[in-house]
Amino acid sequence: MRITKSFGVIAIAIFLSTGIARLFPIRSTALEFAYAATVTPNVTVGPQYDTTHVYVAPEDFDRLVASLVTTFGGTTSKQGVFTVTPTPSSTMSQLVLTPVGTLSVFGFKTPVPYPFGVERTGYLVTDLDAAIQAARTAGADVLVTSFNDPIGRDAIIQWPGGVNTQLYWHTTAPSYKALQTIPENRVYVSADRVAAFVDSFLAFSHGNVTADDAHAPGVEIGRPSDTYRRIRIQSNFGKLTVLVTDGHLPYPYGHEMMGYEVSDLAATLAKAKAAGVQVLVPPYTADQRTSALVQFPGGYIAEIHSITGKPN
Amino acid sequence: MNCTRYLFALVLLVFSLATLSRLSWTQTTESPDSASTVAVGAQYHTTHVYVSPSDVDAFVASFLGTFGGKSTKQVIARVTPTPSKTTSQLLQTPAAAVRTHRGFTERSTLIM
Repeated sequence: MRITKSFGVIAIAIFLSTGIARLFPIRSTALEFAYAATVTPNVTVGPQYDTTHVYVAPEDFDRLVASLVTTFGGTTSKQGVFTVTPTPSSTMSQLVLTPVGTLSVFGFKTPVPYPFGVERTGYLVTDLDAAIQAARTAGADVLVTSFNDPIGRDAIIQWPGGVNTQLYWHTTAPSYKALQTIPENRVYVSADRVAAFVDSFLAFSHGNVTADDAHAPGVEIGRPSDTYRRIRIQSNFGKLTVLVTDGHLPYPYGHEMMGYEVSDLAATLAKAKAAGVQVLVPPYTADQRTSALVQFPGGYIAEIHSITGKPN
Repeated sequence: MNCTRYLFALVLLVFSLATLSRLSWTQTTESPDSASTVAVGAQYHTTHVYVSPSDVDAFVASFLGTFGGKSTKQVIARVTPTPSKTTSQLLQTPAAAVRTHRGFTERSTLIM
């Protein structure tokens, strides 16, 4: 009798706790993200090895590379023609190493095999197989399983929310100078998938949320009279800003993949214009930044900003 | 005895609350209700084709030349929630059910 009673009490306790937990789902907060990380190996190397993938027409290739160096400074690797996909293709390839971020420029001489061109960034990892496994454990899909390129191995993964990232590993470990300023990867996701995206990315990157503003100034997404949610994440892959929107974005918002931090925006824009860069959104100030959106020759769209006050 | 009745009442209360709020463990597994489908028909499923304005007419001619069928009149419209402008027309072919077709005008005109 006593056993039955205590069994009943336990059963009720279980029902109650399950019921209450489901009746009052915990709201997504930065705090929740911080505790949601799954334990996976840390495969990060450093933000200077996180390249933005820029695909341009071969005829625009040299103009783009020159305009990037004129605007931001830095150096380039030697230009070459390679196969960088698992199936036959041929592309011009060059690395642009600027003090504000690294870019990997591709100019395909053949059609681009699917799904290449949709990924935004390439992240160097310490161990490709471990990184793929870690990404899977963290909730990412593996869109392109591992394959060899002339200097190493690669794979493409997709985070919840539809963000594609290439993971790469070099046979001979590369060595690039540390960056002067760390650029931010700008990721637009829906309110439906933001929690899953952030949980997944934090688990993989071993990063943390440095700011989560539910009412960020809408001018940052071209909607001056509205607000939107903005989450800033920092990890050894660099900075990542999550822009949570309803998808009602005026052009060109959402097309920009990276935000580059420079010390003097006006001076940078002057150099950019001289290099044939078009200013799509002239400078505006919000959240202690002055920002502009620009389009480089060949179509690459980027955000550039200077910090005007104390960073968050 | 009193205790047992109290517990029983509690269990009932939890179940009714849970059922009211449609918690998963109170629901039987069911296939989606056929009455609640939102599908209409394959002929209404349009493939969205984006080409540059200069290629619109050549694309339309080649698609209709290949599959037969007809096009609606070409219009210029805004089809996005934020300002933009595109030509738009619908191609209805017997083989590839329906195709819409859009040629966005140059990007610079999209910023207002």
